[in-house]
Amino acid sequence: MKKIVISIAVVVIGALLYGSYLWFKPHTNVSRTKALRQFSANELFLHLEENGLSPEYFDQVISVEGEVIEVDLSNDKSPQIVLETGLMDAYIRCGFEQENKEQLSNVVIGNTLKIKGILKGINDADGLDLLVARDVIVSKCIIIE
Amino acid sequence: MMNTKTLLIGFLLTFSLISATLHEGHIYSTRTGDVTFFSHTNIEDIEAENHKVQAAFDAETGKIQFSLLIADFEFEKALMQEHFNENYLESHKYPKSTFNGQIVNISAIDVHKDGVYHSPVKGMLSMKDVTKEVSTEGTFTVEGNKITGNAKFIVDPADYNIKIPKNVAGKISDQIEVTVNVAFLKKG
Repeated sequence: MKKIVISIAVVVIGALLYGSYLWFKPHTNVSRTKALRQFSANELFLHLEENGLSPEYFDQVISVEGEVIEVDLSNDKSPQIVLETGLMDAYIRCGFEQENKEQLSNVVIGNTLKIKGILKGINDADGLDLLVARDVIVSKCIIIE
Repeated sequence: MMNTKTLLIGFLLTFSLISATLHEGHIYSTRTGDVTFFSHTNIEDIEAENHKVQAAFDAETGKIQFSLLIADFEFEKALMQEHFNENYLESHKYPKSTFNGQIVNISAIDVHKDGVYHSPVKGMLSMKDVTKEVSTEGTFTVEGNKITGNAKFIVDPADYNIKIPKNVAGKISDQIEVTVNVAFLKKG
């Protein structure tokens, strides 16, 4: 009987611990996660345009290197850096945490940066005639070089 | 001496350039718009934000369009974000949500005069494999070259083929409040 009670208690405690782990599971820590692949801005855009966003890269940490074409601080909650791809109306848009706003304000347009973040996909016009930009979206970004 | 063909090509190129310039002159756009959704139940409140919404409107015709990536909604809890993407919205299969609509009373908005203007906005909202009409009241605040657009509307997940498992149904509202907050800038 004692063994049964102990077994049930172990299972219940195990289930509670696993449930708690899932509930409090942290978001991906980009700085501590190794990039799955390094791309140039041009390579990243072409890869997504030609192959779509494969399950291999979807929501995964990647790094991307390119020339800064714009530092976009227009959204108070998410400062963003836009990298040039060399292709028409095609960009890499990297979103940062709010606390990085000051760091981003010191980024010089035209400099080349290597950025690590979570790849989300391409936000393109998709038949909507007023929307012309094709933005590859990378989130939770950090500047690594 | 230029022949007729050269003159015609020159005329067409000039006309296209002028048309494009005039067209861009009344387009307002952004790629950093905010869309938030909020679900309230007695058990739990769930909120998620997307800060990279691409949007534009034509100040002459009133046409207004939005596009966002579903996977770019950020939740407080990683588990909720995972369930939202993998189980409910299937964001890998249906990566985007778009809105293609109309500012109904565009003539009431004077984009050359600072002020707060109101107009119904209606159009087709696409999410997953479903496109449905939605309508709401939009507020447009003109400040120089910047026009801030705000709107709220309600979405029922069932309308968009979003299946919520019975064991979590009580935690997710069937009246999801969607809030749009975008700062458009004049293009060109």
